[in-house]
Amino acid sequence: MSVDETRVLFELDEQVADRISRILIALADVAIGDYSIRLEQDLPENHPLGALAIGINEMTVALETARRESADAQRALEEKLATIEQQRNAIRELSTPIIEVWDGVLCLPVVGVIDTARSTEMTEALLRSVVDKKAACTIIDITGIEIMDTRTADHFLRMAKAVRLLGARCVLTGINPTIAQTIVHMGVDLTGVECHRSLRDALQHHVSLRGVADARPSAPRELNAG
Amino acid sequence: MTRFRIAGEYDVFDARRGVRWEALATGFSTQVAEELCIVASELGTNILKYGIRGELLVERQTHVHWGPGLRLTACDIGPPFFNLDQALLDGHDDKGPLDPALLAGRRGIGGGLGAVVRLTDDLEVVTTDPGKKIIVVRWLGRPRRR
Repeated sequence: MSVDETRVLFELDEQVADRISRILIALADVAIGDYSIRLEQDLPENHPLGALAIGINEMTVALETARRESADAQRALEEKLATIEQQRNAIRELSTPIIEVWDGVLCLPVVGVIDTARSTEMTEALLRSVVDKKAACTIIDITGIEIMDTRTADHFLRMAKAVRLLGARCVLTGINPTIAQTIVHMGVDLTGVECHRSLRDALQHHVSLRGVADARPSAPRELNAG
Repeated sequence: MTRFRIAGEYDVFDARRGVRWEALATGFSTQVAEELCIVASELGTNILKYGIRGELLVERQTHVHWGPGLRLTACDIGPPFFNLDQALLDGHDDKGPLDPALLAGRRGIGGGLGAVVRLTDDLEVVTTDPGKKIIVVRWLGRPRRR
């Protein structure tokens, strides 16, 4: 082997080592999630290292695309989960809606199934809004309730009494025959719990009471408002 | 047999709907179906509150005297009852009577299992490893209350 040939081989060897180290660096970048690096392709197409470089570049591009797509999908999923959470909160609030149906009159329409957990939640929400809205009267409408356990019925009556302690009237409406029997058989004291046949009756009664109060010369609401 | 996984508040809604359907299909009146809904609610809420997570199993049964019935089994992985008799009383949990001053924000009044006892005919509690099973049955031809 001549001196020239040896030098050519030696240089080739050095070039190969250099390229391999560049490939290794690129792969290390890919491994830590940096897909921006591209290997330069200055070798002839039939050179094995050139083919390797092309392959690695293609792989990096494919990985980058896949990573971006999965990140997009994850973001979309997170957004959906957030929406579901919002809707859940909305449903929870709607399950015990407290509506101000008239000036100072709160209405709590109850539908569905009442268990102890729900009746507790309801009490807390109602008492809080009586204070917040400075309500003079609250109407609890249980037309939508078929049946109540004695303990829950007891809790309901206690809720009515608690509302009175806050200085508001509490009216129960829409009690069905089964629940009426349940409450009577419990033998609790019903004085102070006002009941009406329907929400409409209760509202009419309240408005007529307040109408009398408003007619007094000392409290001319319209004049104050004007 | 229907099996409801209970891991969140919304699973209790599902289970309740399933129980109502199953009760009506067994031949119970709508009123009793509503009562069984309350039972399912209380059992489901208890799983979430004390049992961490679990399952509610709904299956039809037949009794020699009392005809068809519906059995609800609440399985959870929580600790066993400290004192079952206390837990079944109204206004108590399994450690004893609840202090009325501490009821606010507790999400319950200690009356759940009491309601379950009142609205069903048989109650059995089995301790499993880990957790416990509360098995209740309501018969169509209801036996006299014990």
